[in-house]
Amino acid sequence: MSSLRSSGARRLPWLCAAPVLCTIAAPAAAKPPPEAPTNPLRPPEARGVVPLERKVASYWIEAKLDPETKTVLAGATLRWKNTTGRAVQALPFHLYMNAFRAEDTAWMRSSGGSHRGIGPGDELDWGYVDVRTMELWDGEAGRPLTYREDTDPTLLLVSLPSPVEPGRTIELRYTFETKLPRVFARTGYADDFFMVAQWFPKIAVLEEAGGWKAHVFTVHDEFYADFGDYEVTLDVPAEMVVGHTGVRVAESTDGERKRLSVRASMVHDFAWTAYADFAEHEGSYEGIRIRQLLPKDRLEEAPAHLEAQILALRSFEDRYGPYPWSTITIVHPPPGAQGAGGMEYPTLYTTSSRPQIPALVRRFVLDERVAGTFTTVHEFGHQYFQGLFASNEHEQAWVDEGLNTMADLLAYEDAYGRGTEDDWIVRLFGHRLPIDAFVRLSLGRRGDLPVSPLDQPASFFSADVGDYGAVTYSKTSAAMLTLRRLVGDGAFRRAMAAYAERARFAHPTGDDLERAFVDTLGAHPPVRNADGSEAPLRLDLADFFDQMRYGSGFPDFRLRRVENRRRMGEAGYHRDESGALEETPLPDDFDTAVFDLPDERVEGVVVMTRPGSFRLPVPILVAFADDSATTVWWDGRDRSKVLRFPGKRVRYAAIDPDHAILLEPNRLDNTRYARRDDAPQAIPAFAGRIAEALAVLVTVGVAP
Amino acid sequence: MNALRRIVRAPDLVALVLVAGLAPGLLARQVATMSARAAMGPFDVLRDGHDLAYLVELLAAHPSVGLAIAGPAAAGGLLAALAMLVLTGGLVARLEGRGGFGGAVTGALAPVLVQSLYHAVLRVVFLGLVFLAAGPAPAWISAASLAVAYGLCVHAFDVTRVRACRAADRYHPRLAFRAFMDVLSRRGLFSAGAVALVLLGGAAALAGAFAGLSGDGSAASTAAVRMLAGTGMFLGLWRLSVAVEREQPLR
Repeated sequence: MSSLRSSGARRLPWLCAAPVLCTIAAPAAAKPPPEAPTNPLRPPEARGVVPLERKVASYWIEAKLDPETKTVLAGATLRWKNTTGRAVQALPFHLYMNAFRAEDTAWMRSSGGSHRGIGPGDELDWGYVDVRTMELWDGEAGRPLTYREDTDPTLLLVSLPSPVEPGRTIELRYTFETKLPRVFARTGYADDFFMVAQWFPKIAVLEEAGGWKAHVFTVHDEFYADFGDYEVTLDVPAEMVVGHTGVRVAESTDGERKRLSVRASMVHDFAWTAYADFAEHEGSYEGIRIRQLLPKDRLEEAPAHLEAQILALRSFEDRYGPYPWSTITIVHPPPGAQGAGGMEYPTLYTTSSRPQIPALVRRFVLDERVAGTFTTVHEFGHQYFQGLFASNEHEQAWVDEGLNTMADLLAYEDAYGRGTEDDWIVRLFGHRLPIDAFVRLSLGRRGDLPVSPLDQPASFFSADVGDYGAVTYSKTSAAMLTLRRLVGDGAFRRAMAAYAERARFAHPTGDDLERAFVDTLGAHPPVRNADGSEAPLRLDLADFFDQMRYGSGFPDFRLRRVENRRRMGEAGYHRDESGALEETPLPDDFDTAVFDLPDERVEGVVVMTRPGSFRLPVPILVAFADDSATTVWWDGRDRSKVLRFPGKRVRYAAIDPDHAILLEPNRLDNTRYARRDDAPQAIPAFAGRIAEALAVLVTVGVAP
Repeated sequence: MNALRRIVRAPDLVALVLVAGLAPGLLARQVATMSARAAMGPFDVLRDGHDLAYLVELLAAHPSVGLAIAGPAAAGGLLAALAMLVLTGGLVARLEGRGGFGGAVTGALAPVLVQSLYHAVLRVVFLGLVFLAAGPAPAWISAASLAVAYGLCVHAFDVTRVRACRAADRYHPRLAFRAFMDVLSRRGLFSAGAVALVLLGGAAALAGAFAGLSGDGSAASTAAVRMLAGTGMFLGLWRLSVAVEREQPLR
């Protein structure tokens, strides 16, 4: 950080060589906002391990927003270090904003021109980033560089006059103009609201083994970048309320404009927002500043989001280590800018609104923790599963989106418990939809389950098939939470903590996750019962992860038969000691109905099948007529399993009675009674109650 | 209290409206239960707090169950309501202490239906005006205004129906119009009482539905649903009796 302070916290005089930037005003008297942290990192004793030596790409940027033309004029200095053992002659840059430049970009083609169901509509306004100058800064002088856009304009290739040798650092200075699109996919403007994200030319990642990681930007793609420091000066209209990555270290006003000096450390991106009608709401957790920017008429939502933010921070710090930065900014896009909502950037994210449900209705009719507050938990979760770990979101989207969704649900469980009255995502007329059930139902329904494999580049998912979200978010989280139930929470927590420790600022992959589990738990950890005790079988972790990552199937178990039969005896002919056939007569109760036989003359039979292709151990609860019960584990490797209980009359059997297999979408065939008359038929009765209630409402409500 | 006395003198009417109020619910319950049972096949679920999830899963896998829940409930309720409308002549006759239920029904059927249509138009216009007038007010004032306006409409409809049973110009739209204007211009005890009964009836309907939707299936919650449904129907009969009393007070 010290080098940045000495060299970067000043205007860049060379910028005035670029005509477009000469209007950036010099700062007037600077003063930091009250009580706001000025160090982007938490104190050393609170922030955990922050390996400052892993800075690869640091940026100094001066940017000026023109709200009339919806453009940002900027100049940037990039200091990039070649940390690999290979020399490089050219540098690829991401120009993400060019995704919105024309109808024939890869992003527009792959998306069909909309994102998460939101399109620009009649107000389409293109966006782009146009690099104006590019220089290699060598000591005191700059040398112009040649550069060209790739076939798709979201990539730019800069040619260097000489290779950058391993371990060397170079400095590039460039100017650019960013035209913001009408926002419908994360970034852009809506009237006088500005969400300025993915707005500057950003160098790609050079990996030791994989070479340059520079992907064409398509609809499901997100981002991948190296860590570094950012010193950014933002020049905006004076009335604008501004939110940004990092902390503000200075602010000055000059007439109708103001300049903010912002600093961020050990981040891999920088985003900001400006809007005159933002109200601010402040909170904190363990010294972390939590700043919310909301449209003024939605200020009453702030406490609920703050509560969600704090429950997430508490859970994530407990499970995955300290949050290293000193601030977090939550942006609530105003109406008309919903396309900007639900997106993460380092130390800043955008969330979504909670539905406006009156308190009485929330209490007695419908309440939910899905919209708004779950977005807050999820986007904050990306501060770890992307911001801190920085996996390659293009190549393995599940490593951030899926694991983050899993972590969000665990944060809810940490806050609300499991199996408690407070364990719900949706509550309808007092009936809870527990977190477990939400996980399972989000997979989709039978016949419409996602089919794409999990571990593939985001651009491989077809928008027309439409299962990117269900696979990447839901299947990953359901699989990981299933793994947790199978190995036990303690073991799972240790393995995830080991992964988080290794992943911190380290660009982890799916292999790293798998390795963390195997290293921590062994290749075949014991399977656990619901009460935490050890079950008599072990889980093959490699097989589990292979199916999860590369397979497209789901576990699905079915109780094919639950019945009681007359126990087979010894009636018939057998040879005696002399070799002669001797008849044993039929028992007296041979023709007696099974129902009337005493239990000792009965054999209970339970037959399970596995229609699903995903192989997993699964427990089966078998309850007997004498009120005893037993739990049997099936390793789930064969397609069927038969259980026999001589001398016991089975009352019912239930596969996975404790909801361990959250990855199983269809559970309606998991419980079966030997006699249908004994079955409580709770769901048909529930349906009947609803029908009668609706009939009462209609009959009494409209009766003349 | 004369209106209530009229009802007490006609216990058969009470029994009739109770049957009309409870039968659709019982029927809908049976249809929905059987449909869900068929969709579940030989399987069942454990009572593990996941009922809502199981129901969602069942509806997703078998959308016809959703139809079996909502269809009979709506159709049964509407049929019951229609039956009560058709029976207006007989109801009014019995509340007036006259006999000949069947003859009264057939005699009044056509004018009651015609006047119902006229009234529907007036009701839409009136409620629309109230909505426009109360719209800018705070939400609770707006809601209260609409509730009272709705209650007046229902009372006006009752008065219209009663007059349609006997008036000379019982096919003319002015009958519905005058009934409406009488209720609005002479908002005395009858109107206040009728509005109160309308609101209580609505509350009974909502409470019954809430008890059914939030109940745990116990005998107590089922009884509560049916008692509230019966109460709502009784209040409806009482409301009609208020209109009869308004038109021809007991001596």
